[in-house]
Amino acid sequence: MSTSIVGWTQSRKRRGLTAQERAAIVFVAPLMILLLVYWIIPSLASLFYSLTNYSVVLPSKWVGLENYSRLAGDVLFWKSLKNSAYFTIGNIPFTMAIGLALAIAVNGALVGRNFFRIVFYLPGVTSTIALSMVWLWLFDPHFGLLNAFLKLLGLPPQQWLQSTSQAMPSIVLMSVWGSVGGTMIIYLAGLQGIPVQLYEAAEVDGATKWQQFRYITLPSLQPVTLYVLVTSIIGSFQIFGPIYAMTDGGPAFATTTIVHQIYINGFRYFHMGYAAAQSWVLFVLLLGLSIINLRLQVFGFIQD
Amino acid sequence: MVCLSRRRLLIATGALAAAGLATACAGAPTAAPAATGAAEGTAPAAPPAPGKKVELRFIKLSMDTDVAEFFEKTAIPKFEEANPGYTVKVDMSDWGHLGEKLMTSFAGNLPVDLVETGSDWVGPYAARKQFMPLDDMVATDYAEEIKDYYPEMVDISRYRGKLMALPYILDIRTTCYRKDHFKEAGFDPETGPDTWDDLVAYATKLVQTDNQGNITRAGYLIDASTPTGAFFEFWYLLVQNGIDVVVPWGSWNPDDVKLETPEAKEALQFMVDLINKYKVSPMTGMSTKNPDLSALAEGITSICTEGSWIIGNFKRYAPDILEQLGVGKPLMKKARKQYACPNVYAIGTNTVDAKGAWALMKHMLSKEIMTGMLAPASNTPPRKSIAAEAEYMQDPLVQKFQQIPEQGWGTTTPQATEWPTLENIGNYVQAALRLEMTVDEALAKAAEETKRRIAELVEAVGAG
Repeated sequence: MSTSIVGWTQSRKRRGLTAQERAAIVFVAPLMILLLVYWIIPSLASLFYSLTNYSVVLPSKWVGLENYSRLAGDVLFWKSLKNSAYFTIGNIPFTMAIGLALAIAVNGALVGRNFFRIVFYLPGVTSTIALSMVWLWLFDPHFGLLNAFLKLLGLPPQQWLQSTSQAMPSIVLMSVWGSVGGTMIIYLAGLQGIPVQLYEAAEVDGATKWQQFRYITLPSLQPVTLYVLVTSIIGSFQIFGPIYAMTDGGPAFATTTIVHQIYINGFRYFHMGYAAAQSWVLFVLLLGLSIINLRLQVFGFIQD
Repeated sequence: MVCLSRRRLLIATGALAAAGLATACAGAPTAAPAATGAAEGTAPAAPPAPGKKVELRFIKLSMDTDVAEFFEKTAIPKFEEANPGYTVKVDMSDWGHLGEKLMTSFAGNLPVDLVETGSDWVGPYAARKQFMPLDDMVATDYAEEIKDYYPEMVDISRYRGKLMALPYILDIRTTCYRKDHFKEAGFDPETGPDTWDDLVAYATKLVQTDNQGNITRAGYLIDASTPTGAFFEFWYLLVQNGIDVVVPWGSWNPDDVKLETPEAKEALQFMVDLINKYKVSPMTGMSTKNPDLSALAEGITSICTEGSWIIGNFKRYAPDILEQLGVGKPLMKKARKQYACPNVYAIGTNTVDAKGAWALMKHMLSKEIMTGMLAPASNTPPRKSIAAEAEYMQDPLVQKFQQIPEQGWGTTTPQATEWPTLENIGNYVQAALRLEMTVDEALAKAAEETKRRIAELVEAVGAG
């Protein structure tokens, strides 16, 4: 076996690449170059900068792991980590559950289902900043629509983004509203890939709708669910746009997240080295969470 | 045809990656070489050669509609007409993004020929050698003109004795109120509250609530809805309680941070009490239904601290109730003080043409252009002649603002703190106002982080 592989490799070395392989490289090269220039090199550069006190406009010096050790005692970093986790835990279950429910709803024989699909998906294609501006008005404690609605119900007005306890849930609410459409579309694609025969056979066997959902739909959607889960965790930990536009991390740091802290340190305090170290911690964290998710799938925990 | 083997491809890719990595790790081009020369007072660059066009980049802060119209249709065209060979490219910014714009400009060597900023921004930028000293240029052809400025408003932009910027506007704030509300409550509409105790007495009588206890009209509006707003409100009380803002002007010693003094604690406690004990202002600030209107013009507060632009706001959007606007003196606790600091123009050390940039600065500071820029919004000037002669300055309300620095009631800015550091303090002020932290805890934390930021700046650039 090994002899044949050696022989094959030597043979390939002699004759070089085939026309098909060269064509493949030509097609792949533009993307690879873009990835190299805009992702791999900057990533490696940021790793290097995380070991310096780089501040953009001043000469930098090597500080080794000082930026990383400083993170341990940085109260705001831990606060931002906690806020990011809070946002993720608050955001993902609702986004996934509502997204799946909407997908099932618009997958059936619903009158005007294309209209509903478009309507539910629209927030997903709208600019985050535009959405944030609209929600800022909705959350306004004095003239906002949400407080006007509460008033109609005889309930007291809320401070929403001005309250340290309500600010993050308010952003979660906005985020769920804005992202369920995208999740719905992904689940919809997954639902349309499930063979109809499975449902027909289940009906013949007398399975209820709930049993069909529990034993056919959910297991069949497992790869889709894993994909949505992993990308949602990554996206949620990287939340920045609404925070920047709506609260700038306030009030009293109640909504500052990791990426917001990276931005503050990098672009307001000009501590790029420290911001780069925070970025790498975030990368390792997300990598770890993604690996755990994939392992859970491999061992069947998610399916079970 | 060259045969592209995998080995060659990998070698080529690796070489490209290594080259890119080396470029990236070499650091972004900085303004350091230009900065070093210019900061030592080297002569301005030569004027453009005959027939050669020089484009000056002017980083300008956002303006009201009327001011913008004058700027675009009069100020810039007049400069270009009077200075053949120069054109001006205006790069707009707001305060929130000015720091990023400057940093990326210096890092990317995008010229900062002229920038509009605050006097409290000057120290750190001067320390990093990013602003050009103006002394030689002033001595050469501005020695007479500079006598027309309030000297203390010029000196506030000095760093290590060198003049780094010149003022174009005085941002003066004081207690403003609604006369009609005062009359209804039985107060003299011609005088505002004089002391902190007066403020409590007035505001508790003026505040209005609905049947659920929600404030519908603030007695005294504290706008602490953002960290910036919270810090400004704290600033007003700090100086009235007799201490400097964060650190004395000119001090770069972290141990001089004043945030843990009894005066600072009393100021913050007073702010906390106004919201939580006396309940004269909602925690959230107050929103106006009409975003063009100020809270005072819309009548959702009876008293607040404002700059002279409030007069312009009434004149433009609520002229029929202009006579209801009252302008009082700064409040008195231990000192009768209020925020009165200039915003300034500075020339970046990476300017493409120092002579052209200086010409543009002088043009913007000329009496005609300065008046045209300040009058539409009733902004107060740093030049004595404009204060005395300009038509818009004959308004008694505007004069009341101008009297504040003239009476010695104005304050200086901290020099050793970057604006984000002050915003950071604002976050802790917010935490105290929301009772998330005690006053002592909030100020201790704010002081700790402020000291660290100053020490970092001193260490990085040898400031001080």
